[in-house]
Amino acid sequence: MSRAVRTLLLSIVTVLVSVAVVTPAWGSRVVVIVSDDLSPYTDPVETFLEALGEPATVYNLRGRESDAMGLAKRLAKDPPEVIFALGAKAAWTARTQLPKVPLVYTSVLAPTRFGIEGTRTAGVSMVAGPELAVSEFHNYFPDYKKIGVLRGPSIPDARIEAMESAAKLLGIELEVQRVRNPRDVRQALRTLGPKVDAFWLQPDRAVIDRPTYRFVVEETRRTRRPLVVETENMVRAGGMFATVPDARGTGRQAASIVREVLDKGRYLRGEIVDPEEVDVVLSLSSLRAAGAELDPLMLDFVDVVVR
Amino acid sequence: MYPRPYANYTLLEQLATGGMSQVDLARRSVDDAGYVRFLVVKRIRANHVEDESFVRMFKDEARITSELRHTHIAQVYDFGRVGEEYYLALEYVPGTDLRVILSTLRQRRERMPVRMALRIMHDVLDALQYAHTRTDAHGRSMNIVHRDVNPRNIMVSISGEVKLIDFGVARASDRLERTQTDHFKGKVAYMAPEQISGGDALDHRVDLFAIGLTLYEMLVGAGPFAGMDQTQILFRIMQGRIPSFAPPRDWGESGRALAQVVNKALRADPDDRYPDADTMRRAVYQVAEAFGGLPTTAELREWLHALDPDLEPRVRQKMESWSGPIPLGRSGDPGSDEVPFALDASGTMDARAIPPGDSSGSGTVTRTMVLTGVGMATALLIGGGAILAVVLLVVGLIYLPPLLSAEPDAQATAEVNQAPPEPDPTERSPARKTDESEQGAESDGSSTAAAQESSKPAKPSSSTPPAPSVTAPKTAPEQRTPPPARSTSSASPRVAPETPSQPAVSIIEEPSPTPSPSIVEIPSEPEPEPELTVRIGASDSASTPKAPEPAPPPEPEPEPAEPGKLTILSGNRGVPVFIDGKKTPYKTGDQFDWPSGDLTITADGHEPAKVTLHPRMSRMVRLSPK
Repeated sequence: MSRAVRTLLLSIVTVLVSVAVVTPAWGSRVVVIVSDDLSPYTDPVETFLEALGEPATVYNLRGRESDAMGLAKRLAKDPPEVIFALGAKAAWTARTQLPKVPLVYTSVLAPTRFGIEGTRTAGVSMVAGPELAVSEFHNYFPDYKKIGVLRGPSIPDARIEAMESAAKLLGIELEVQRVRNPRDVRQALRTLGPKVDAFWLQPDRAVIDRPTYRFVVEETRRTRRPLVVETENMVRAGGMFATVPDARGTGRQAASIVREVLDKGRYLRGEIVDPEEVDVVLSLSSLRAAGAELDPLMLDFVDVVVR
Repeated sequence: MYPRPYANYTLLEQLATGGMSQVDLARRSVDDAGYVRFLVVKRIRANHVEDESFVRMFKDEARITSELRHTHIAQVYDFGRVGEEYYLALEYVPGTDLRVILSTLRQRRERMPVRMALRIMHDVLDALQYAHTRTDAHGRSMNIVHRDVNPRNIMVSISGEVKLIDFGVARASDRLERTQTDHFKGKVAYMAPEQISGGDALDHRVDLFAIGLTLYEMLVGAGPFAGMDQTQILFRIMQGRIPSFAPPRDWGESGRALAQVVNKALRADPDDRYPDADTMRRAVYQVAEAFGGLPTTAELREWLHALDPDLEPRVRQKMESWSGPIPLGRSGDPGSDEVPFALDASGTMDARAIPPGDSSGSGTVTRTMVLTGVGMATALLIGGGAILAVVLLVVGLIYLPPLLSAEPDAQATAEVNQAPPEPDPTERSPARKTDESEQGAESDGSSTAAAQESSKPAKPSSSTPPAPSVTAPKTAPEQRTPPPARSTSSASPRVAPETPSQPAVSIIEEPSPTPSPSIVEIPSEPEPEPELTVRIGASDSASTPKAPEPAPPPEPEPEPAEPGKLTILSGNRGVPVFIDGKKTPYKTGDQFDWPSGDLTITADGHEPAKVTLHPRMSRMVRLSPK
């Protein structure tokens, strides 16, 4: 093959490849913005793209404001139809810089704290639904009938009430103790300790700091009470059991919301939906420390076992 | 003139006006329908800010209370100065205030259900305890006292949430109001003796006294000083002659227990009252048990709905109408009190741009490839490969211009860093900078409460003269073509914003009417409003005609009962599962969603099991082998 022909073929291939590369980026109706390279952000992206069923352009802010502003400026020129944001930075950027574009977000623990709310937004919560959380614990530990719930000031009444309703259906009694600061938490553990079989700690930054959480873990182990928490990290830091959103599931769920926006013109009204898919996280060392028993068959159904 | 930009917000309409301040409904100043957060902006009139100590006090209080974050406290978002005015931006609570609820009940000659009254007070006490026990970084008490707990400052939202508003602004406004009789007057009926005597050493127990008075009013239907004039009230309170709450006989032992709670809070000597809000809250909780327990948020919502069925549609309609784009002369700055970037420890801001994998990274590669293609095509054209070369050239020309116009990442970043018009999310808004440097603001606690509410039923489309603008805006009046009000259905997801009706406001000095201090019976005649009444009239948005906006699609149909999650366990995984006799695609060991209800589950080789699956709950069912 002559050199000229090879050059010609190479040029054709080059142009075709370039066209193929460019097309999805320009044609995407959906843009995905990821706050950083952390697994809670990156895991749902894969399932989101699978479930979405059409090309989407993915941007990673790597935690940088400068990147976010540059991206926002660029997207403003040619806005997508929907943005899927993972993490507070990504969601905040989309909400404030591209307010006209419908936003679906996940991996944001306290969206209202950052003003990520209002019309044209919808989020998948980072906390399992209260009914599901209570019932999952009951599935694994049906013998615990009286649970002390430590409730911080920012936990909504509706969540506690839903927990109480679910507990009632399952024959569990919840002793809800309001705590307002770390000192209250310590006090509540001591007062509630003799009256309950287990403790349930709500994630509230106002009352739970690192030393307080350490104290809670030590105290519950000392009194041999299971500690139920609501994030995987809290289990890894000494909690015994948690029901948490499945990261890949949140991606699928977000994709279904985005599809409804694209296909059915769904109008987002600021709803925050409970995650449909959850994982059960269990710490074996905390299990032993609490003296709790678990049917070996049930261990098969635990999604994340912390050893 | 409304709407108009103001600080970081867009003022939408006047909600109330008083002697010292004006209260407006506002939203974050974005100039389109995308992001909508409603707030209440309270503007202090310029002629009240000459008192430096007042300004300093207000500034201190506002700074402290802006840190309060509690589910039952309406948050202070921002405070600052615009021109000669000081302002306070508060969380907007969609609903109505307790004063209006009590007024409605009086008009209907009904009594507030005891459980509802106790629920509301329980939540307010919870909020007070949180505030009273706040400590600084060194663990020292911050001595936060509300000082102005009264029905006007207690909001009940359309979703059944209770919020205490105007936290902390009372101290500064008290100072000013003492020189302004008519404003001070409105508060006297809820003041503790030590508060009236003007001692500086007030503590949290003044709030408990006010709670006692408010609870009294809720249970009786009229305050203990109803019918008395200002002087009589002052004398009575200062002399400690505070009427006791006497429950109806048919309330029996429960009533007596309730009376103990109310009357203990109403003791003239602070030492005789409850030592703290939490102790009183627990007492309220225990008493509520005798009346059937505290109602849930949903019950409170339903009760409020039954009391005023128009409230929720009215609020939602108003919010919808203000959710659309608002043409302004200039758009505001989105601004944010808290910015995720600023909160992240790892937020080093270098000039590195969007990494590869996004369009910017691929764009660089693509640009190179297209340039190569175009260059080759040109060469071919010269060499005679005409048709193919033309095709390549056309393709190149189509794709080249956008790529060349797209700025490289680093360049874009540099532009962003230099360009003043782009809001920098790590910086606070100008207004906030100002408030840190020089000023504070003042407030009268009386009018924010009225402003928060949607108050007396407002007819959605009645005509109203333009709401009076008390403070002349310095900016030019903006053209306004708000969107039309859209009728909304009731069921709306969790965060649906809210809206009050557009009010025409007048301050009415009520003559002191009829009597009945220590009575339980509801007065035969509708009770008058408290002394200072900010009445929200039945005016509406007619003063500001709405321009058409693409209406959002109708609310989705209500969904059927939610499913639960079912897992069937057996010794063997993978055995086909039958539910209610029907073969399912699921097997033992699978977790799957299934319509909730009573189910009969069978699997080959196992005993059948009857179970109940509850909505949104998980159920694991173990089948026993035959």
